Amino acid sequence: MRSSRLPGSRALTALTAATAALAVVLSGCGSGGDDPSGDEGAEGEPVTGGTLSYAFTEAPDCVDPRQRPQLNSRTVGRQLADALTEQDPETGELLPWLATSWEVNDEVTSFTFELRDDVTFSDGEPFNAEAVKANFDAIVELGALAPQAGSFLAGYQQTVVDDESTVTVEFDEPNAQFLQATATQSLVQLSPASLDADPADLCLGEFAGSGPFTLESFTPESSVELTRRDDYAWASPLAENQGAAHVDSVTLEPIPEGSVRQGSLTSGQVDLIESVPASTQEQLAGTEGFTVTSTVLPAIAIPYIPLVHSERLQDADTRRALGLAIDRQAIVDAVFHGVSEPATGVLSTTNPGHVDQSADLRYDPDAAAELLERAGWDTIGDDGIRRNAEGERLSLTITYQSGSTESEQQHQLVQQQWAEVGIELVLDPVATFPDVTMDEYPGDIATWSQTRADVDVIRLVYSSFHPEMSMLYNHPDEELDALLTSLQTTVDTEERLAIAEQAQRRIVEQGYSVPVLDRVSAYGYSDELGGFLADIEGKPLLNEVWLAP
Amino acid sequence: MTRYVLVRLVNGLFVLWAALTVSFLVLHLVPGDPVSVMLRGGGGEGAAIDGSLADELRADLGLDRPVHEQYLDFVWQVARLDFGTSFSTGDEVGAVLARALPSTLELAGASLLLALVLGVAAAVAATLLPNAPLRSAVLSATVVGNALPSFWTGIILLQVFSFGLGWFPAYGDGEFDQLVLPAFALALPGVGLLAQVLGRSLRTALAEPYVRTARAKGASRLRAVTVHALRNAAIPAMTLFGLMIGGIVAGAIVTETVFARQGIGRLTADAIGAHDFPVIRALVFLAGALYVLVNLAVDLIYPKVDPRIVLRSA
Repeated sequence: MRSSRLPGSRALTALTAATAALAVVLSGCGSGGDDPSGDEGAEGEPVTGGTLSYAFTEAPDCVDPRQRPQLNSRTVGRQLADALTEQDPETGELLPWLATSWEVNDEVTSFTFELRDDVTFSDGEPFNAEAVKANFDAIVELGALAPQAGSFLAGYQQTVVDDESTVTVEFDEPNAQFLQATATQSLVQLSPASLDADPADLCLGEFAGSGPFTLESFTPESSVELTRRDDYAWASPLAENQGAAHVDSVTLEPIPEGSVRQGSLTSGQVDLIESVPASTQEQLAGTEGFTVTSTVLPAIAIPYIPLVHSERLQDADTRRALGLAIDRQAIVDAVFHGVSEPATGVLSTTNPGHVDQSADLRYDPDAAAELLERAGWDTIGDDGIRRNAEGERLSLTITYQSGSTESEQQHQLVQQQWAEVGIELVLDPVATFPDVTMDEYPGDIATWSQTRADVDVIRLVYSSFHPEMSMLYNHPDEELDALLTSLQTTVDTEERLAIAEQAQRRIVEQGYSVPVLDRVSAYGYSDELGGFLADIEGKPLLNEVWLAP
Repeated sequence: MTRYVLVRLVNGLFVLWAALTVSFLVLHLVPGDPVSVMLRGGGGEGAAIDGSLADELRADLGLDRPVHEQYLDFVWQVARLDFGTSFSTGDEVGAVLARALPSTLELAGASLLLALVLGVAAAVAATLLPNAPLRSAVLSATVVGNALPSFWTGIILLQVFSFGLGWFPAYGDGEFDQLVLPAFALALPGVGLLAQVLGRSLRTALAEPYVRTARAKGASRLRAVTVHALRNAAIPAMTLFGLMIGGIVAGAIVTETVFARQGIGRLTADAIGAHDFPVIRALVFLAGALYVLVNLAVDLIYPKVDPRIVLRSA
């Protein structure tokens, strides 16, 4: 696998870079607390008017969310354009949005959508079946420039316009994950009149969407200004406000330095900030007049992945022992200032496919020692490290991308924890990974997470299907592969989740993954701001937000 | 004189060529490539991207060609002053730079002016102050100013004057009040350095016979320092000031990040992070050209300040 090809977060480093990437509103802390009636932010009836000042960590370089997987592009994209469907942040259930209903054929190769007939793009063009066809065709046309969207449409054959408000998307092989993909910003609907534009111009925002805001101005990597669209009347099903946005306009300011971002909020210079620094989150939550809303990415919980091609990790008992020897709470407390959650499953708690496997993910060094003995690592040398009958030391190497203090500290802590049960962990920081497939991934342990609010992520990461993304590539577990293959042919939500649960149990039982923690990130805002609401990936719905006068 | 300038300019071209070559080498030795950065999901959805798509993108950007071809292109385009388009935004590099330049020019101008005024004032004060403890207090203060990392001074200035007193905004650029804090943060280390160098040469100059002569002829201490000694003591400080101008982009990287200003410094940091070769190339060219020209200007000014200096293109 070549690291250079990997869009996903290969290592913790990449994820750290993405702490700006937020997920669903899981739990409020600080003045928010657990009160569901919501004493977070401003109270009372929403007020119309005002300019929302919103501090980002980094401004996007492109506001066409189809062309960029980065969260900041999709956050802006979400305000400018709408999607066919929406996901319930609580359950992950797919909700109708621009598509009012859908049907899937038995082969899971053809998806028919009924569309709303009252939607227009901001350039006046109507949203209809022709527009949907033009949009999917345009994604395929974009090719490498829309890599994520393109991969969601893998095997795309054609889109057929059945009538003005009915459209059928056809694939040449089963593609069950496509349904959830229609809820992502990668497949948002733009005006057909915009689709012929040069991709670079589309990046600069020269397109019309059907979203609650239009782009007033955009300077790449600098600033974004949005203006309310007054005739907007088809808000996401998550929104209470189905009409035009409450605020007149939104200014997005990039403030890269965390303490400056937080200071700008507390001194009233901005109304809303993303990515409250972990080290000062508690302080902000304790400050009168401010609310912190914590969020968990709907991802694969950040794991240690015992590499199945490692000589010393051939035995499932050894692999499982690694997990029992990790004190997750200690990592959360020491490295992340308590601002993250110990993993309770292969997937993070906000992923719709999350299964509570916390009993298997407990900290139990005695059980770990027992498993190691059983696996033949039964002699402890003078250095405190276990050896097998051949005298080999149980020394494991983790090769990881350097640069993140947090992941470095985490690895060091795990190094100590594993040493207590006689496992040596050698840290091998590298600037980048060699260009190899997964079965030649360096070292014995990997760390790899990918975000998507669908169980399809485990198919990509824990199958043997993709040379560049699947941890078991060339070392297939047939039972697991069979389960994961059936995910692509199963549309029914319950069935899908049931299959995913079996797969996740298999992954933990066989020690293919040692989930460690769910990364939490947070928004901060003042009590002058009301109606804060985020989607399943934690991107705020700015049409819901209002400012107290 | 003309010949001297021409020779220096030709030398300058070699400096630029060397800077471009080194930056090209470093960029290609550092692992990672622009495409992997473009495709890295910021905790993105799916993030399941086919390797062949990435390869296609690499081919579009010309990154699949042999390194020597890429190098020749890298240099040849600059020679024609054609900076191409940014990998990450697809925008003209000229336009990208034009957007970032005003903010940095403002910041650089303000902070250099501050450094110059405060630095000279501190050096003169440290020489003229009536008692020794006061003089050394001023000099120690300049050492502290020089030693503080500008990242830290920036945060402290923000804590006090923006978050605390609310006098100045914490972020952004374009307005005068947004310029004050970053200009001070960027100027402080320069103030210290300038005051020390100038202070030391002033003390040396004051011991020279011509100062004693001037004093004997009735010049006041102030006049002896400002009229007679300062001019002779200025040469090392001028050299230093020239270097400070040349290094302003480096200082701006930190200051612009702390104060969330969208200038050349931030652009440099972002472009390096994104391996955006065309933008980096233009920035190296810009910084190199600035360096060459400022050095030349400083050298041309020397004889005006001190007529004993004669320029020769050796």
